[in-house]
Amino acid sequence: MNIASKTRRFFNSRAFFIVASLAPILFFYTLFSVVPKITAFYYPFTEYDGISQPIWIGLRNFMTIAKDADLWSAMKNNLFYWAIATPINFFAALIVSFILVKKPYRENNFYRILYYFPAILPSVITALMWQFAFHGRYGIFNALLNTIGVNVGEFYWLTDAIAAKWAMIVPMVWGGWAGNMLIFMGAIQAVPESLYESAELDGATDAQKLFLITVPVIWETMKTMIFFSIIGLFGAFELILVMTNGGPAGATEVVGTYMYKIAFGAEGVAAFGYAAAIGLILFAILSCISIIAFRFMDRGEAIEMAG
Amino acid sequence: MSRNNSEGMVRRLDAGDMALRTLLGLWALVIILPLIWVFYTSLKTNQEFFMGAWQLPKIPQWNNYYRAWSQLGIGKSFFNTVILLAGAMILNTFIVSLGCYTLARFDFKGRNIIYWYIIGSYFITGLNTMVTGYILMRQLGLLNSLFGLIVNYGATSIVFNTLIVTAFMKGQPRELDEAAYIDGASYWQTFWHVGLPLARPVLLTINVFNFMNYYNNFIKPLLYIRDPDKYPLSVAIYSMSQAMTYRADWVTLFAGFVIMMIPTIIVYSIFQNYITQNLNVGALKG
Repeated sequence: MNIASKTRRFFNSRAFFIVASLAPILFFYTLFSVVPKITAFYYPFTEYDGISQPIWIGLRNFMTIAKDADLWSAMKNNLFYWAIATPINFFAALIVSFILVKKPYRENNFYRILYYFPAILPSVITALMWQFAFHGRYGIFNALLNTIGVNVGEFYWLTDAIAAKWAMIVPMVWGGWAGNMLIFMGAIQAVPESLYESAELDGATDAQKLFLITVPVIWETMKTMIFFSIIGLFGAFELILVMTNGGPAGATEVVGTYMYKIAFGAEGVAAFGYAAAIGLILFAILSCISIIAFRFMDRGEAIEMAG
Repeated sequence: MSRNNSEGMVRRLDAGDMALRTLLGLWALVIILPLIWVFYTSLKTNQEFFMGAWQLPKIPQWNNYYRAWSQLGIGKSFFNTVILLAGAMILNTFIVSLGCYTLARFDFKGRNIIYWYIIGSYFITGLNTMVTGYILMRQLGLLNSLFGLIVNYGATSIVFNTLIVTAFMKGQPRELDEAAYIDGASYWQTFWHVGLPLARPVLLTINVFNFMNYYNNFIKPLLYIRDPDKYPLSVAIYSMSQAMTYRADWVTLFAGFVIMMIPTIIVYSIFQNYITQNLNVGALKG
């Protein structure tokens, strides 16, 4: 047998195919997904500016974190946004989905498409659009308030600390609720029609049908959604980064923007070790909450949901 | 919804229904009004912009779009985005389809270990890799390059796509592969001529995901790309918006917003059913 046909046989062998076809996925996945997760447990214990070698400093970053009042106030803001925006996104989606699925209105199909559109819009566009919408003189927000009889004059929503903090809820809901809608609609469609029919015979109102039939039946889905909203507690911060950058005076600062500034911001000193330490603390907090949440649900459910 | 049910309910449209429909209509208005405002503002002159939000353009200034495209540099960023998305989608599709094919159709030692090694990432949700991901890109010398961003995008969306593609490929009969072997096809030829064509629906699904994921991504290009000539749209529009503090050419910026919405609108109108019906899981994830 000559060399050419030997090589061909090698390249066409089953063993070679298996190894060669798995090599790219294993290589890219390991390098870009696994390595940053492993080093996320290393850099927090170092001082590292990205240029010189990282220096091992033990727990010093964590001692600084314990005394970092700005970080804890940023976490409080995360909690604030979670506690206000999540329930709004949840109930708006639940009620609208119920109407869209259960009522025969002609326009429902159109609404389903329209309502979901903000959810797939790039978050930077949502952020910039609302940044201008809140402009005191030229923004649509004040113009709209004016039209419905509320005159706030030239009020600049994003430059006032308290107003800015609350104003951020608007884009969070505008762009965030429809993701829930999609899930609710799927879940509500799966509720057996017979359940409603017997309720109708008993003269149940729509609200009763929603809260006494639909909600108990789709409760498992709702628990999953709550779980995911907790996991995302410190997650998305693009809207805030673009619209207020945490300002004015830290009023809208969340952990994401704070970390971003420490690691990459203009005033920052590229304190990668410290920023990574914050990341690890967040992970610890989320893990604790997840474990508690796991206790409230059965295990099988949680695994299914993770998949 | 069943037809039966709709007909049964049509008869009972009453005051309550009117209230609900009005509510839905108002909600629709809240959703669409800012978008409409952005659109007609993009057609104003800057003088008209300063006359207030309700002021409609007297003559639509389509020229704003030309200025946004050529002078603001949206055109250049659009081109970067096309390269970025095409590259990352091709890379991701290649990696995932080849790997998942083997994971789904071959029995070999260690198969389950490899599968769970990849899927296992799901169980470590909430670990923030913004900083360590950046450090990695820096060490690899992939910062400030579209190529680096392509590789990063293509690689970091492996986990979720592996889940969907493997499940899909497992559902297809292996007899088709075996028939190809009997006809004398090699493993590579079988993958190319049988495995890939059969997987077309699921590869389309993951790429609809990929499109939205890559197109909307903002933080990564913001961190990884320094040179404005290499900005994809998301970062370009942000940096233009910041530069406008000095230039005050607002209407052109608004035209830029609309241009950036157009690909989303196109993809959404074509794959609307895919997105609202198949992507339930993705909505949960995001």
